[in-house]
Amino acid sequence: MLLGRLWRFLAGYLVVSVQGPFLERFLNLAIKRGFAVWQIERQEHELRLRMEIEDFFAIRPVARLTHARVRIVRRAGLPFIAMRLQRRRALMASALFFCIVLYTLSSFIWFVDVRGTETVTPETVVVAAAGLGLKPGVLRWQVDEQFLENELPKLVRGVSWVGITRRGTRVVVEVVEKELPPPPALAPPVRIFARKDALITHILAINGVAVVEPGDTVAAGDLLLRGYLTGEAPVPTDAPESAAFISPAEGTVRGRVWYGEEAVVPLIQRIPIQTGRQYRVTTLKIGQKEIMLTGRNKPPFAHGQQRIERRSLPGWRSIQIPVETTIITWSEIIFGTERLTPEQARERARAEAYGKIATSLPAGANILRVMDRVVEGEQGSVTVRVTVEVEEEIGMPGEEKWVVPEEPAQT
Amino acid sequence: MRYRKALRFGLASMFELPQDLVLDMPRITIIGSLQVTVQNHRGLLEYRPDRVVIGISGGQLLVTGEEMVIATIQEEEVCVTGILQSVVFEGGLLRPDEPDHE
Repeated sequence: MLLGRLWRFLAGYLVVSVQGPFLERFLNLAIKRGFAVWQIERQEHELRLRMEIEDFFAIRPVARLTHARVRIVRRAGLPFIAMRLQRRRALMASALFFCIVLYTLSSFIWFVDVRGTETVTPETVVVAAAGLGLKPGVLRWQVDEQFLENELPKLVRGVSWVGITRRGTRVVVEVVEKELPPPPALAPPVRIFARKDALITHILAINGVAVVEPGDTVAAGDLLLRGYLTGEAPVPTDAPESAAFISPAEGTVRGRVWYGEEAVVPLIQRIPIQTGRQYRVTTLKIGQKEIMLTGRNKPPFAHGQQRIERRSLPGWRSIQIPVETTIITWSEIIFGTERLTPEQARERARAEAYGKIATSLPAGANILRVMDRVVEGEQGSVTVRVTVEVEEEIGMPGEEKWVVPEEPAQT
Repeated sequence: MRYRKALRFGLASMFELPQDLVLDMPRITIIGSLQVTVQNHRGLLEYRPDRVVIGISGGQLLVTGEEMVIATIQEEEVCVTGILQSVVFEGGLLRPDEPDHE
């Protein structure tokens, strides 16, 4: 059926109108004589039917015999369309031209995209690809993807795999980079300065020249070690040329550093005492809404500690039931006083001052001595000063004279 | 001629041959109320959009409906499409027990 219709379209057909007194007879005679007619519609006094082009003249005897008049209404099918198009040369030519231009333009590579680069710049990949014949303006079928995939990783440093996909006029170069070891740090001509005021205990110059000696006192920012100058250093034979210019100082410098801290402890202490009175507030939370079940927002006493307990329904998989109860238990607190003996107060002040120092010590510090003394017995309180002697790394590499940052609590 | 036709009918039913071939009967295919195809017809007797009469062996077939179109017509087969309402056999028709109607 579909094939028949396609054939009729290709061959072309006529829609004709038949008028006459015996239309049924016309039809019967026509098919008896072997004419192909189809899609016959009755319209008032005429018959609209479709027939093949060649049959139009041959069917005239049938029409004459049945006193019918046959007239072409419409010509349909490919031959007539072609005929009409033939008359419109310019349209055909421009359509053809359009197709040719589209085909020609689409047969070139217009874009080369590089994806997946991190350390390698896309430009280097593009340049390397251009060297292998992949660049905008190249004919599509001249791009040998297999060849490029094999050759590109060899050409571009730091690339381990290349995948090439072409989508229309765009070539995408997918790059996977090698995991390169970090490049050796180009050391600037570093010198080592003192981090803080200290008494030097040890100095070890791995590279460079020590400027101070053990036993020297240094202030923060003083030069401790300097690098070799040109000619001074023994140059290794395999070193790159620039390394011979100046070599950075390297080494460790340890020194004694003192830290001091004060703490004041009054003899009369204000201490919280739990009275045992409790107040309970229960709230039910549904979604964003909170409902007070028991109690009020604030407990009926001045000071208190609160303990919050939340209970929600167990969730199932990703479903969380947004219902939650909160129980806040307030415990009343009143403040009483406690009297300390001077010894107790001193012990507390010492511990407090020492704690302050201990948290600020740098890593690797070695505590040598802890000293404490009562500074002044002020009325009603005890003040204790704690000094800690520490041995620690005091060297700090820098290019310029290092500026001491403001550091509190230093003797 | 009489007994000859009776013989053919008898043979057809005995050997379960398709009766339309042996007895020169129309084969009518109706697809829903959309299409009726008559094979082995005897020509188109009347055609109007609401009424099609097709000649068949020993009588005629009356098809009524709306907007009916003759989709195809050939010597052996005629196909009518449209909104069908009824398909009626008219005129003297062959009965199995009186094959010699003519």
